[in-house]
Amino acid sequence: MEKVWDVIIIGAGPAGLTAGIYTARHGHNTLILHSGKIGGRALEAHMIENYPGFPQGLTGVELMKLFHEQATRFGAILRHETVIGLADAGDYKSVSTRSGYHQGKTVIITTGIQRKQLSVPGEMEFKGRGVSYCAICDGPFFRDKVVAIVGSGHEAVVDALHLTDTASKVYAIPGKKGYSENYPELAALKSNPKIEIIDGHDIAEISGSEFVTNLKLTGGKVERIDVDGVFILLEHVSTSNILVEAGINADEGGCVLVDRNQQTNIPGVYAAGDCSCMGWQVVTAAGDGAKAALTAMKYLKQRQ
Amino acid sequence: MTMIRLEYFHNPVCPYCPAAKSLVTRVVDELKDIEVIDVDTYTDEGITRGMSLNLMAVPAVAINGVVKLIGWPFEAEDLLAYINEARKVGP
Repeated sequence: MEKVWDVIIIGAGPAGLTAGIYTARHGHNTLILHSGKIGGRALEAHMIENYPGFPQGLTGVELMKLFHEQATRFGAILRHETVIGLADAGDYKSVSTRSGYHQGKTVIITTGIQRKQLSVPGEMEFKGRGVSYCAICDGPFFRDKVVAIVGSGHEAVVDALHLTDTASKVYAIPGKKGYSENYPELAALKSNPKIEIIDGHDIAEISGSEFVTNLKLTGGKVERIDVDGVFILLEHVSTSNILVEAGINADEGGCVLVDRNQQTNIPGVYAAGDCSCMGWQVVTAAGDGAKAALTAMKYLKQRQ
Repeated sequence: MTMIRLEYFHNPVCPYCPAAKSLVTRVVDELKDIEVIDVDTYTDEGITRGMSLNLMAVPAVAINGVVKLIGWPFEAEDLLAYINEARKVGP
């Protein structure tokens, strides 16, 4: 008979790794499936200064390395397998991957968010040749160059400021609706001499020859800006077909619906972190991951 | 046998680089005619080298000084094809 895991966690970001720390530490055999990105979106954080216990701050990579180390220390097994299906067979859940399938008594979904693409002409054509989705990864290539950063979320604000360390000029383009919230860094963004905010415009096209040379804008007076690169940092929650086909309820925005104990509509299946659209912070994702683990363990105990 | 020079561009904050590195290692592991050079673009030397090749993103792979693969994901078959192509062309 195939091994039956007590807990299968899909995703290895802050929520998934925290859930793994909790369940593995309590002696439950725990499998964490990931698609090659241990640490999730937190890895892209240039500096995390609000995670308790680290008063000097640390990078997302450093923090996630510690999460990973802690989860494996307690015996959680991490496997690089892309999940392609989830089915509820009552007592057991079946998780299919490209390499096979796994059975679990419980499943914790921590799949995070998928980044939205701009879906404008030129985006795919210039990917890696001026179009980037990771400012901290690729920012150094734009030393003394002009870049644009597209997005209205906190990450776009913080990364625009970060890009001023290398770029000669940064156009911040939040889109027609402007910045999503009144982020604390907005004042610094507005007063930074290297940053020009272009409000009320959307990107219509990314143009260039071998590399990106300009952006065509729509919705306002500015029709074109000359840039060497564009960083696309749109946030988007997308419930994958896998979850929909498994019958897991989500809202119109694709956020997995959970109760206060991270329970989904299917017994034995829980969700935590960005995929449930709660908090968007490492600390809240970790907290939700811990809650999901505690609820899963309670469920396991009741089944005994 | 002519050595092929494969430069693997990465940096410590790139979330996709470990997966790319794993794939590169898997592909070149059993090949004997390849010199693999890790280029960290968070160092002055690394970013200078990357910019000299007009590189704008990591992870990336250059073979004999020409950027062949940029961004993640890329496939083992593609990397192997570029390596075989370099064998035919020479350095």
